[in-house]
Amino acid sequence: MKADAVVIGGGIIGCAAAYYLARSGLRPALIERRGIGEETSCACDGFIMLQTKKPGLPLRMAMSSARIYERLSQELGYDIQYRRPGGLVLIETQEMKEIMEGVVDRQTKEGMDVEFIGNAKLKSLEPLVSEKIPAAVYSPMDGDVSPIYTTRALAKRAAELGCEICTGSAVTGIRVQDGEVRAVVTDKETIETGTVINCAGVWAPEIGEMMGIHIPIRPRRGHILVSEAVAPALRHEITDARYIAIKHDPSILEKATDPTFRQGISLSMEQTENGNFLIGSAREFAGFDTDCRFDILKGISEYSTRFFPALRNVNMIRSFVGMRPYCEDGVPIIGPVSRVHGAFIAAGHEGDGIALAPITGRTVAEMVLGRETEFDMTSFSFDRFLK
Amino acid sequence: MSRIGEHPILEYTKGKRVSFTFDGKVIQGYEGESIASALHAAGIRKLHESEVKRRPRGLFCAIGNCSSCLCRVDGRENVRICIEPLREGMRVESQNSKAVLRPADPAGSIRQEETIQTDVLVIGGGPAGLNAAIESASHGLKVVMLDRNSLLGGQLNKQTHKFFGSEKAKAGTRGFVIAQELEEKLAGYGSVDVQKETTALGYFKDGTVMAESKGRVCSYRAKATIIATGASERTLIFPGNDLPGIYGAGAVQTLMNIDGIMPGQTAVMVGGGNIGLIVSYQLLQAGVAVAAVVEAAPHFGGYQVHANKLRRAGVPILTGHTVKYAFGGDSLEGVVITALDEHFNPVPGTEQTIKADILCMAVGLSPMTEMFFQAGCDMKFIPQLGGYVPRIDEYHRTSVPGLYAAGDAGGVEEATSAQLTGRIAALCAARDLGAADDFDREFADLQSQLSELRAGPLGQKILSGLDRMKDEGGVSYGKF
Ligand SMILES: Cc1cc2nc3c(=O)[nH]c(=O)nc-3n(C[C@H](O)[C@H](O)[C@H](O)COP(=O)(O)OP(=O)(O)OC[C@H]3O[C@@H](n4cnc5c(N)ncnc54)[C@H](O)[C@@H]3O)c2cc1C
Ligand SMILES: Cc1cc2nc3c(=O)[nH]c(=O)nc-3n(C[C@H](O)[C@H](O)[C@H](O)COP(=O)(O)OP(=O)(O)OC[C@H]3O[C@@H](n4cnc5c(N)ncnc54)[C@H](O)[C@@H]3O)c2cc1C
Ligand code: FES
Repeated sequence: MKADAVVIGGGIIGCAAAYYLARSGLRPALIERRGIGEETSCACDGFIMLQTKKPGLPLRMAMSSARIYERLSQELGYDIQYRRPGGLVLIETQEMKEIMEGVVDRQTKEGMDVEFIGNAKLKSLEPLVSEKIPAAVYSPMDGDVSPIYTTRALAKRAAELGCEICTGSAVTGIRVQDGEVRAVVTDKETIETGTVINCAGVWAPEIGEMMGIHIPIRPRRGHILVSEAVAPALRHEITDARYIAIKHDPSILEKATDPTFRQGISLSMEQTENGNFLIGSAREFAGFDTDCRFDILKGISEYSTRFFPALRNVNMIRSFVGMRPYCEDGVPIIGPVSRVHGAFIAAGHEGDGIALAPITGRTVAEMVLGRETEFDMTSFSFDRFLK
Repeated sequence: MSRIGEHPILEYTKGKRVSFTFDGKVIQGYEGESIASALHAAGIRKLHESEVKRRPRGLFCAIGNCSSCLCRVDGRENVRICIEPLREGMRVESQNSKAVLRPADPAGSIRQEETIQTDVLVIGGGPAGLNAAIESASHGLKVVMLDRNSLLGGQLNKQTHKFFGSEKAKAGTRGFVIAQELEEKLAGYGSVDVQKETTALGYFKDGTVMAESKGRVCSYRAKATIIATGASERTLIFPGNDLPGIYGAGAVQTLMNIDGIMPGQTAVMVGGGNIGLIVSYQLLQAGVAVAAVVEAAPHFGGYQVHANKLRRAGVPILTGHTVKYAFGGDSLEGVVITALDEHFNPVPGTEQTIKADILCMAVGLSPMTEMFFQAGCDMKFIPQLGGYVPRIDEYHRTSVPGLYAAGDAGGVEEATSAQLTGRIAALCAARDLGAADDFDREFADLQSQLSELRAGPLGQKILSGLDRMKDEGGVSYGKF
């Protein structure tokens, strides 16, 4: 087989890349070793939350991605359940309030619509929040989407536009000659191509090894509890200040005294269209171990009921973990590999892969085609690790 | 619908009479029977409506497996009323939409209870679990046994007929009597802690088992955990298969044999295996007419003696037939059956309408393997054993150290073998914990009983299933 470009990985990032490549008139192939969206992209929440993004390129890209999401259902011809109900970052302590003041300040400068609110306003927005939570940051710009539907709809549309989707095949090697990509080898066939895009999430380093490069991405595990479906009760996308603090600075956990804090637990919560609550989460480095831990689930239950006491009245029916692709310096790698002509990486989105998928897909497609990108991508380039 | 007055073999011991309400209407029942049974006795079969298509929903499994019976009880949503014991003054309401979250006191907190430590944890108190607990206790081990039901004995309780099989494993005794005897024997050991109305929910990698007990979360950690959660009944796909009045055979048995309630007036049985034939006969004993036994295969699979009893009573056994669809309003009014050709395709023009208010499904069981899957056990698909089962070795050890399988959960068989595999799994666990002094002799004895049992005609299927397991790297069995 021959392809204009080979996308490795059928998670949300790979599917977005394949979609934008196919839309630009190329005939790409997407290689996925399992099924479409069966790894991290189906073991996560669906927040399109701007408030949790680091000011700078991550926030700017997220804002651009959110604009794409507004019309993506229509573009793909499939309802991906995008909504924009607004988001709340709940603040429990003075220490967290101080952290948020700095974040909000920088977000406002980037043009985000965010405001501090007190308990009275918070209770009017979210009646189930505890009286004990003094404050929150509110933004009407936050939304959510079904990550599974989005991933699959991107793949489906890409296929309709001429992308070859090969599931159940694993990439085993990449043939490079004279510093140029020549072919991608799978356990089933060899695909001749001059372009390869590594979208293998937490496995991106394995693909990197095949080209002799070291990619500093590792899994950062997250747990989620799923409740039974109940009538609509939660209106916004919810996180708390601790979520942002831990996400932006993993070292903060070492100083913490609260046991749930030390476990890396913070709040993330949404209610799906069916009525189930997805309640998270934790951030831990635990290798590729995907077993849920009882103490963490207990910690999440305890912590989330501090904010929403009513959760004590709902049954939890499931729990799962996902592996966020965490890049050493906390931001993704999106760009070419300068040592291997024709090789690109789009991986390492950690907890933001859903929110950033459309803009990531569009950006790599632009890079592959040698077109100008919307943003200056230097700070996400792979070359930043070569210094 | 009503209570069964006279029964040829059963006497019903009832709790005291209590009253409760269903959607505001006052109803009488007996304390301790399930809410669903009490409603059934009062002629109420439609328990609620489905949320989207507004279809009537009723009892299906009567053992807490299927969630078809969810109601609101005293304001608590999503209660499985088939396993919720009736108490005086309960307010039961049909739940026709999603639960509404009730606010809670912000000053409260989740009760975090200590993990209970034990030597052996047995999950499930059916014949396999009861025997596993007894065996473990007999080796001086500390045992905790969980069952989500308020009644121990699992599927045994429903069985009012005498058992076939090995003498030592109680052949000739009626199922529910075996359950009572086992429970009494278990009570004789001081080292056993039996937790009823406690559902095990998850097995974690460190060996912790999380459970729910009357609204509380609790957890256990054992040196050996034996999973004996039994099997759940299958159903068939046809239009109208969700109507109230369509039950698993186990539910029909629960109504008649445990609670003494007439499940209806006229039944159609689907499935001509032993369960289908036996339950048909039990329906007759309870005074219910059986219009037909419908079996898709060209021959029925159950014992000839059971079929003969039915034939003598004038019940037709229609092999090569299946259900085309079921009809009714708020509950079942009848079924349309059709003949099948040799490729199991319906033969046009052979449809027959049978008026019936009960359609009883006895179309096989699937092992309840959620806990094994979740624990990460190596699973194998073996049709002869009922579908996915954990790969086990001859000591009933799964691929996860410290985790054992017993009874139907490890492969659907029958009650006598469930008792034996319960004991074998516990004996091997005791050995692994260094507590089985006379292992070789006892193991050989249990194995020979099991081999004897499987030498019968129905054992062939199990043996070929176990052969397949062996090919897949699991159990090795043989003459001892
Ligand atoms: C608990 C949790 C909550 C989250 N919540 C959010 C959220 O609310 N919002 C948000 O924006 N993000 C969230 N995320 C992050 C988001 O899920 C990830 O960033 C995103 O899914 C990563 O997508 P991916 O395509 O890079 O990886 P994946 O979805 O893992 O895709 C990589 C694919 O590559 C395939 N692959 C690997 N090796 C090979 C090979 N050799 N050959 C072929 N195929 C291969 C894999 O099978 C896999 O399907 C969350 C993550 C977690 C864990
Ligand atoms: C309708 C019917 C008729 C039958 N007739 C006969 C017959 O005539 N002769 C015969 O030999 N066999 C018969 N059988 C088969 C026999 O009853 C079973 O093979 C036997 O009961 C299996 O025993 P077990 O202990 O493995 O499972 P079960 O008897 O099913 O017991 C499992 C127990 O585990 C509990 N449980 C399940 N999950 C959990 C959990 N997560 N946490 C806590 N507790 C849990 C259940 O409440 C139950 O009490 C019949 C079965 C059915 C359904
Ligand atoms: S769970 Fe109650 S009928 Fe099945």
